[in-house]
Amino acid sequence: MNVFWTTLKRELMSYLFSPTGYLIAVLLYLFRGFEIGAWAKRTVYLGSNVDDFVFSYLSSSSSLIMIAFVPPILTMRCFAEERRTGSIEVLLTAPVRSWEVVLGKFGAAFVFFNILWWPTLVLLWVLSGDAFLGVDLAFGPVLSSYLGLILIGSLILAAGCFVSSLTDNLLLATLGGILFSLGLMALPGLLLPSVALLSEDYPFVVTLFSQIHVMDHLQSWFSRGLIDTGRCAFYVTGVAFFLFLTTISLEARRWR
Amino acid sequence: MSDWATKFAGRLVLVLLAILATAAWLGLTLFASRPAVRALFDVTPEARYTFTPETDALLDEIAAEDKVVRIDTFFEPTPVATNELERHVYGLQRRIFNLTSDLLRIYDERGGDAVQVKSYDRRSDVEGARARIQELDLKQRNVIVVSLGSRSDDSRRARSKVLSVHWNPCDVAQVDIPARDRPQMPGASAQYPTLDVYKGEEAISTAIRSLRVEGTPTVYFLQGYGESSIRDGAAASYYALAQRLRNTGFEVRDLPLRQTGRIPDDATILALMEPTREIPERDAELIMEFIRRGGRMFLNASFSPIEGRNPSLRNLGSVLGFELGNDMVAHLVADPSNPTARGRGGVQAQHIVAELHPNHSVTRLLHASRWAPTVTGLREVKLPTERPEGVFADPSLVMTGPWSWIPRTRRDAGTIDPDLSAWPRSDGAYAKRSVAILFDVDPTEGSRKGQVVLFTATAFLNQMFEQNGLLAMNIFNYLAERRELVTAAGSRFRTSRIALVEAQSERIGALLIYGVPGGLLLLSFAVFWFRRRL
Repeated sequence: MNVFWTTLKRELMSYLFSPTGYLIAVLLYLFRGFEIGAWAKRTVYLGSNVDDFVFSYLSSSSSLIMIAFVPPILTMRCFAEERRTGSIEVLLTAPVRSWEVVLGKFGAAFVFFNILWWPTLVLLWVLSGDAFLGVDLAFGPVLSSYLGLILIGSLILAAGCFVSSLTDNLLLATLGGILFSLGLMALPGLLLPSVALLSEDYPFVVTLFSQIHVMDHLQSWFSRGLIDTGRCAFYVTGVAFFLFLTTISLEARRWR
Repeated sequence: MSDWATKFAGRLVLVLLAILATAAWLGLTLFASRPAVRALFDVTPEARYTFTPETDALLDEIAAEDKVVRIDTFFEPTPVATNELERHVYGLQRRIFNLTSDLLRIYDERGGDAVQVKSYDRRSDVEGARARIQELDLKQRNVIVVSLGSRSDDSRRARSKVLSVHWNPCDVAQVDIPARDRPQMPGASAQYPTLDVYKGEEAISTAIRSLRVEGTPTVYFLQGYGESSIRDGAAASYYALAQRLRNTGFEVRDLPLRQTGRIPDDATILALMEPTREIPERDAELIMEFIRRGGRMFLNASFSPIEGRNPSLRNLGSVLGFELGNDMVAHLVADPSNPTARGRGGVQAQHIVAELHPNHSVTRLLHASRWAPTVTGLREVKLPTERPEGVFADPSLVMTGPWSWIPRTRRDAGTIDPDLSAWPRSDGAYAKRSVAILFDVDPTEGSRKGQVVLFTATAFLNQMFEQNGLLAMNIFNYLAERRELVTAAGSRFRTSRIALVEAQSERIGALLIYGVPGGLLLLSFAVFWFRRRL
């Protein structure tokens, strides 16, 4: 496990000391600031309620952009950079286990992804104060929303690691990850009405599609304060799946 | 060649491994979705998505009976608002839709195969929506239709109930509509309808229960005794009660007994709401004959502050064994900062939080839900020690707390004015007093007992029905022997509103647009500078 910790620390330091991550955060928080600011202006005239605020805050466009685009950007360098520079050969010939390296790189991306979200939680607590919203926020639905965002993000991070392991081109790695995340978030919702026609003959197909309907999970379950272990299992097993694929991708290269 | 074969074999193994892994992933996902394996955690503060045990039991019973509950939704899209009022109202409407959709999702998940929820959208599925609307003979918009039938039955044969999810009137929520004549303070923002309490589970589960009960009991509301109306929507009428009775499978009719001189054979329950005139001896005899044949009656006789409008109902009282006084009963108001102390009098003393019998089937579940009705205009009633033969009275169905007393009254210019500010000092003046008394009457024919519920307070007027209606429905369902409909309070929750002023909005904007991104930018410069130094 030393390899895991060493890899994780090294990768995490590279994220934390890279200005790129901060610039991404600045842009996203600026976008989010405009969104929530516009919501606040509307609320002055129309009023609102706590549920709608939590939903808007955590399922806003900026949140969706954050989980769709940031994980592929974070993971593009994981293996593609090392392949491009040739340092992957050193890694593969070293007496280290591939899965430890994969876990270490994924772990670092996961931790940094979480760090990007923490300020929003602190902000929410600040916003609930009298100087701003002056409401008692129920942190149950807030934390369940965060759980949903982190689960979805970790699945995309794991997929991004796999895509990164397949190419030495950073742009391709990023695009592949973004395509996956957009497909994951959009396709189940688009296909579900058609799939529903199969419900009588193949009910398990409809069940499967509802289990992978990511936007429904986020907007109708997690953000409402409902944590369904069945839906959580999709993400946890998905992370394991992609990390497994990444490991065998690395192993295959080692065999060559 | 062998190098090519090796590469091909290697890639083939990778592809097979990937396919196996994908199958394992999807298989585990499907397995985790099975009801026996998955768990649902409701972390909302009011546990708003957790059903009451009664609803859970109801869904289990329906599954065990191999029946299916079908819930069809017909939500109309809200138009574009053209003014402030419309913006509020349409926002309110969308909120009710969203809460109902969320709730129905839980019914669908929890009910499994026993519950099917389908949304009809006239825009995307014109034919399907039209066909279903015709099948149900639906006239209203913004409704959900709850149907119950066997799996093998054609959906057209299922019995159904319509619940309105329109903002006004609304069966699934309590909407606070400001009165038009409410004076507005200068400079105050306009008052708009707002969502006060959402009670979708109560409405839907009650609808399902009522569909399980066969038969339609008939309630005849007696007329001709100066009683309150069940027809108009004014605050001081009983329209809401009558509507709710209709919605839960009762037939509701009027009975001008003084004119007809007979009680129809199909009458299940007679109801008389706050009579202000005496019931003549002949009518009282007809009523008692009906009760002795196994009939049921709900008699609501509360206190009126107008002289001459507090009939003693002695013609019924002498047979059933009760005496209505002319005085109002008050109850000391507890001090929230010192709840164990006796309390104080005052204007609020006329509003009494009643106590329910913990074990009677009418009130047991409500009592267990920690729900209590608030009544007003409680009238003094006495039960003479000598009871009429064949009549048993239970005065404890609904009672006051231990600090009720009878205030002194001033009678002036036709009004009776209880002095609530002078409450007795001596403990002996206080006692628990009855709010609802259940009379069981031995039958003269057949074996079915007659029953009368005498309710001596005002609790079920339109303006109070949202709060107390459950108790009224439990009483009527009990009298109609629809025990399975006697229910607990379903989960209902208040929605927390946010009202902002301009200054707050500006502070939020400043924090989120300048403060946070600015801070992150400074941090990134610091990181970049630090990295360069290293």
